[in-house]
Amino acid sequence: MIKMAHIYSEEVMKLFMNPKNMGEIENPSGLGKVGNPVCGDVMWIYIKVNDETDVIEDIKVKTFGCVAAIATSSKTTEKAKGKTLKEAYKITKKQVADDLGGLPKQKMHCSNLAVDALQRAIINYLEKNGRSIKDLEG
Amino acid sequence: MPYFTEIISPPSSDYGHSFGVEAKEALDSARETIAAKINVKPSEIIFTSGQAESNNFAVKGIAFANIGKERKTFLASNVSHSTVLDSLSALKKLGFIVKLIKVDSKGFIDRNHLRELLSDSNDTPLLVSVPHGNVEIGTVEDIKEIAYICHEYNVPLHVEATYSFCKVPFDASVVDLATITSHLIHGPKGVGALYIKKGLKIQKLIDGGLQENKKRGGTENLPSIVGFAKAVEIHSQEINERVAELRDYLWQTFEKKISDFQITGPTKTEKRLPNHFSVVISYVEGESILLHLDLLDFMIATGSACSSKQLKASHVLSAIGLPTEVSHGSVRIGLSKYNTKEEIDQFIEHLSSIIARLRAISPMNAEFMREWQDLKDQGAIIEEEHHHDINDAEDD
Repeated sequence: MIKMAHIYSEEVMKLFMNPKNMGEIENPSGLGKVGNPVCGDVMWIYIKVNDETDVIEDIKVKTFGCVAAIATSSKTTEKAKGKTLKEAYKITKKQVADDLGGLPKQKMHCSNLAVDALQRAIINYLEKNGRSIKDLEG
Repeated sequence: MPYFTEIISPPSSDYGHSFGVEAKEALDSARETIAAKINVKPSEIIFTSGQAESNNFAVKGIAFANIGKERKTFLASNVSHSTVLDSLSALKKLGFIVKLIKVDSKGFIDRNHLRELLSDSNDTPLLVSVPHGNVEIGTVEDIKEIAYICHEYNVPLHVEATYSFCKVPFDASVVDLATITSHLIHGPKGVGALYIKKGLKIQKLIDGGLQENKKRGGTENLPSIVGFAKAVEIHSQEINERVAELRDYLWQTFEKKISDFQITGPTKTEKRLPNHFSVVISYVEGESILLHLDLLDFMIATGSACSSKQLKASHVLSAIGLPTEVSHGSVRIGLSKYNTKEEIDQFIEHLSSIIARLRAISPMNAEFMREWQDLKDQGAIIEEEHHHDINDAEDD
């Protein structure tokens, strides 16, 4: 039988069924919250950063939303884990969507918020440490 | 099957040869069966291609018969089916006026509002359209009462009875137009009918033939019509009672096994379609639930914005006053005579574990929603604006 899932790529379905890095980090180095319940997607990304090396050593996400929201949350955290803040900040929504084998057109905007949440978590970490986003430029 | 392979003539060739006579007899017999089911005359049943055509015909047919006249207002329930509402939108572009009748939190027509709209003596409506059974929230409207009110003001009433047909007793003779369809009672897809009360002035939409009492041109879809009538014959009251029993079992099991939800539509079973159960489940999103269930071969529906192509929440859920953030978790479950108690047990077991999984990864919970409500009450949330940030509001 052809399943309803056919609108999504195999990779999206794989991550939807078994999302990675779900949960939260107690006392995170940075926290980014995006979305709102009216739109139907809410994502909270927690990061634990090594203060010496700027490396994101651990990352967790909590997601309320549709299939695409869950898959993009999972993919974004997988991509960011082990990267420096500078590298992680450069991850784009397009890269996430491409790595997922594409997303349905109407889902591109609303479900691909995980990258925004990640960037917010990074900014939150920098601000808490008296640094600014400019530190990552150049 | 013989109507596909052996009786090859259209019913309208009954004056030409005996194949045509046989086809005509089959058509007449189907019409009698269906007319009897809703207590109207066979000549008042016009076969169509289904719900969308019947609703378009009812609404636009009345409009086109009144072009150039003074009256040009239509009233429709704001939980009407999209085929009714979209037909009305099309008429608006032609200069007709559309006013929506409010419903209460259970989906029943607000009688006072209906009377208020009907009693505007400068603007007597051409037609009122209401659903009998609501597909999203299961509400079954008291049509006799609505018809009584409309007729007090001499305004004809169209009833969209697609979802209640054969499931809830319906005497269409008290109304002026009624839409019914075959496939929701296990009949063939793509066939339905519009009941048109004798004497009602309506313009046909498909010209170029004398078929269907001169109200719809084109050769009748005989095999499907015969199948439609057969499905009506088979669908007994006993089936409805059996399905209602299954639905009650589903309802009880759901309440026992699942927490944090709210029934949508009437909570009294006798006010609902017998096969229908609908809820909003907190802190989870409908499309995610649906997809998990679909992979397990359970097919249900949602009014969540995320699962619609336009990313808009269901108009029915908005009309009964459900905030968008709540309607994301809406699901509705339709049962049929082919379902069993064992399937319901399995279904609830799967559903409860899917909900637990999704809630475990969701940042939303009772505390989150309380905070959200506080922000809304303070006016900090502007609903039209998409994707503004919780962080900003919280930090303020």
